[in-house]
Amino acid sequence: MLLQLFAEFLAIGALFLPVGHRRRRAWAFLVLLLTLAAAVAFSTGSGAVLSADAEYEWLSFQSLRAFFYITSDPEIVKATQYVLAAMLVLMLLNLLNPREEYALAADNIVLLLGCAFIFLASAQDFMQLMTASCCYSIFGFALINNTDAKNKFIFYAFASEMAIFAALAVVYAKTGSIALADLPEFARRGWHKDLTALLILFGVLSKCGMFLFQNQFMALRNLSINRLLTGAWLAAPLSGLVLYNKLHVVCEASAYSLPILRVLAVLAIGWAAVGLVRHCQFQAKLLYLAAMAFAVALLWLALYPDAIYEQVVKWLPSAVFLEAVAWALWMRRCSGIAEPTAVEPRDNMSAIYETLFVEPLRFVGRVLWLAVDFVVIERSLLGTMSTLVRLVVSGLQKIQSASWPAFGLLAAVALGMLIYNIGGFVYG
Amino acid sequence: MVSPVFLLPLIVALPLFGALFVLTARDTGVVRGRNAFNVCIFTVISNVILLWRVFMVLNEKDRNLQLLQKFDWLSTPDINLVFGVDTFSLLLILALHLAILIGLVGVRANTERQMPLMVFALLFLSMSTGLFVAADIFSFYIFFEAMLLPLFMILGMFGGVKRQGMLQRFFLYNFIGALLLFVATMLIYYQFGSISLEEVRRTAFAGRSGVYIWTAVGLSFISRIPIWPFHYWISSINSAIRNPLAFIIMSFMPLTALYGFTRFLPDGFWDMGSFYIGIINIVGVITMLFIALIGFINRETQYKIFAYATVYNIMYLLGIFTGDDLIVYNIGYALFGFMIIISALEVLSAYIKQRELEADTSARGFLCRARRLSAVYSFMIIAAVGFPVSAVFVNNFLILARLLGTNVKIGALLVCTLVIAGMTLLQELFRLKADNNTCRLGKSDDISRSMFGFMLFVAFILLMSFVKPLWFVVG
Repeated sequence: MLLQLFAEFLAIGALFLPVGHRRRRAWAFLVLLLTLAAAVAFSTGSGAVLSADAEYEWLSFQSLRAFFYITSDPEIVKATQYVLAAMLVLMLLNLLNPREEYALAADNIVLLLGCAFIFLASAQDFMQLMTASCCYSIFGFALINNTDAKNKFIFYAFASEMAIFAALAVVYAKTGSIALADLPEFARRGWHKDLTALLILFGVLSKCGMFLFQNQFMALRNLSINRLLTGAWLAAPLSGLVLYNKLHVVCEASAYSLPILRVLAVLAIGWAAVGLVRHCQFQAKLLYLAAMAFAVALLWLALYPDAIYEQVVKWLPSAVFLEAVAWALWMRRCSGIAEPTAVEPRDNMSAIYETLFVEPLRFVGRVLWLAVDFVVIERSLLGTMSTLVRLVVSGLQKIQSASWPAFGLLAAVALGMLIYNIGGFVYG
Repeated sequence: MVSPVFLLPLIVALPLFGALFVLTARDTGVVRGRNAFNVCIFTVISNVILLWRVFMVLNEKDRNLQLLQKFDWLSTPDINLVFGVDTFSLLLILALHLAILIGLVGVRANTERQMPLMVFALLFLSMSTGLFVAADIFSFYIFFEAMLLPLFMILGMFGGVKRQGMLQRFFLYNFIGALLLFVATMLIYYQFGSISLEEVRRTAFAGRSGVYIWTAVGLSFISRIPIWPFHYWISSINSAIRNPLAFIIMSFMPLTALYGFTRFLPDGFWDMGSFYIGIINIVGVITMLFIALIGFINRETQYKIFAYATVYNIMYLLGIFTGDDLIVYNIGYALFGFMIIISALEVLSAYIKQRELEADTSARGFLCRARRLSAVYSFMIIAAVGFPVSAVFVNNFLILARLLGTNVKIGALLVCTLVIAGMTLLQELFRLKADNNTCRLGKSDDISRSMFGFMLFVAFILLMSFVKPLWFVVG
């Protein structure tokens, strides 16, 4: 069933790809209708042609085999229904928001995010897991149409993907297997357990926009409401949740990771609560609410190891719907003339990261460039070689010049060689 | 259809014939290099079709050299030209052709020295293809050195104001490298005769002569890779070249050395030479970090691309030194994607630079207005930083896993380097995307529809290389 839904999402997206700029809203409405039809068929189980698990052999080397796999697990099917409901709400919002210039493109991104969810939830090996996780980053990048928000998002997304990438590379190096089913064995052996756990935690926290990593999440406040809600509820934070649930075995092997996760989740809840009360911008309040919800979900997953994300996503459609309604009511109160312009608070986190990481890197880079490249290699090594060549050439020129000292020197060298060779011949 | 037996000599010879045609093309008056350009494009596309034919007759699972063909040259000493390919070398040849095709699209509007550039580009293509199909030590040596001539000429033409110094460095390093490889080739020849590259790998060179041979081979190859202390000459050349095609051609220098290592390193080297491999790993990772940091602070886009390319070249070198067949095999796929990414990035960056110069303004914020350019540039950067949209992704994972498994500290440093190299490119992307009202470049400066279509095709090739590297091989 999930395979069929996956294929339908792709087909709907592809069908409207060549549509031009004219009547974009009408096309978006058509996309919404088609998605609704797919959702109804999926929920009722009618017209299901592809209902079994699907497997495509992607890498088939002797020592490494990877598959693209779409599951038919009932728990994941159930979770997908909630995601699908949230998708429909967001697509409706794409259509109704008059500030959304590219409703059709926004719909297509929502559909792709739906595909990414199915792909991530179905993952059975690292390759598919990482690919799906990166898909979330790429679609998130496409979704955000504000330069500053996009900038922050991609830097955090890249760092988190690299962290997960490195952690799973360690697991593969040690176990020789990319199957998620082999993670308990890795955790049991305890190879580099703190390193891998902390890397995964970094990736997950960064994706969920938790405390210390909230910068990129809060930058979404400058987007239009439909994109803001898609980014907050359906994009990277949701992937963070699924990733944690799939990789939590590795995190639990380390003694530090769970306490860190709990502390940061509690801090995130506190920070979001304070922000919710103090921040005067409505978009920011919606984001604080979303951040709080994801922090609670992560805390719950951290407190109860047997909990699964499928139970968490139940509240996804309600949350999206309620936030959208809250926004509509608030806009109505503000006469609905225009979305208020964002008042930019001071970006302390950016300043901290800039001071702690970027500036030292720049300084070291500058020193290396000037000291090693220019002074050591250009001036010392190449300069010395160049001077030596000049010296040798001028010496040779002098020796070959038509002067008595040069003649005397060459004659002395020749005599010396003669004596040496004769000596060698005579004395053996 | 051409017989498979003649395919290899034909793909080496065709660019050579193309160069002759270009030489005879009319280049004055209204045509101003168009004829030369068209002949060059036609030659490269024809060769790509021939390459596709070679792929069709090749057994991709067979790791040995196939379609072997020998051309007698000298009887005393017994020196012949021997050709043969496997999937690895064929992928590199295809990457070379596609990269040059992308470079040609990048210089299509140039009128300055178009004809000589086309001639030397085709000569380079022929010699490099010869290098990748060479199946014995002498054939390898001949093409390894012959490809330097067009490079030298291209550098002389497009090396910028500092070209004299660059040419000196180019000559000095390559002359020493050539001398060392010549000595090694002679030593191998006098011990074993004119042997095939596959036999070189299987031969155990014991004793002092073995040390001499591998030191000479190693130094001659490594001098072409921007690893410390050889990085400076290559970096000074790559950052000064002001022509996208010339830059792309120069970027193949390290690749020839990487290829040389895969062909020459003996099978038992990973056990015997673990000490040297350890040293190369340490020096390699430090150089990567060093260059990535310099790329991070450098304002020149070209240097940033060079820094990124260097980080990846050294990573592939470390991958080859793992001795893992799976990794080496995958490096072929990864290099295919990697070279296409570098070429596309360079062409797009050169286009932006050109617009900048013409409008006498900064390109900061240009991508906000140029939607087509923004789309393809963003895609290429996303592919470059290692997201799963090209074959580079899987290979990064394999190399990283291997290095993290062997030495976690070196692996961690490698991760940091990849992050810095990726951040450098992202930084550049957001410089071009930043809101800037003073930027005078607008919608009209965007890339043309045809160029956009071509770049989408390139993106499609990259995506397919991720899904299935040999997707174009039917059956």
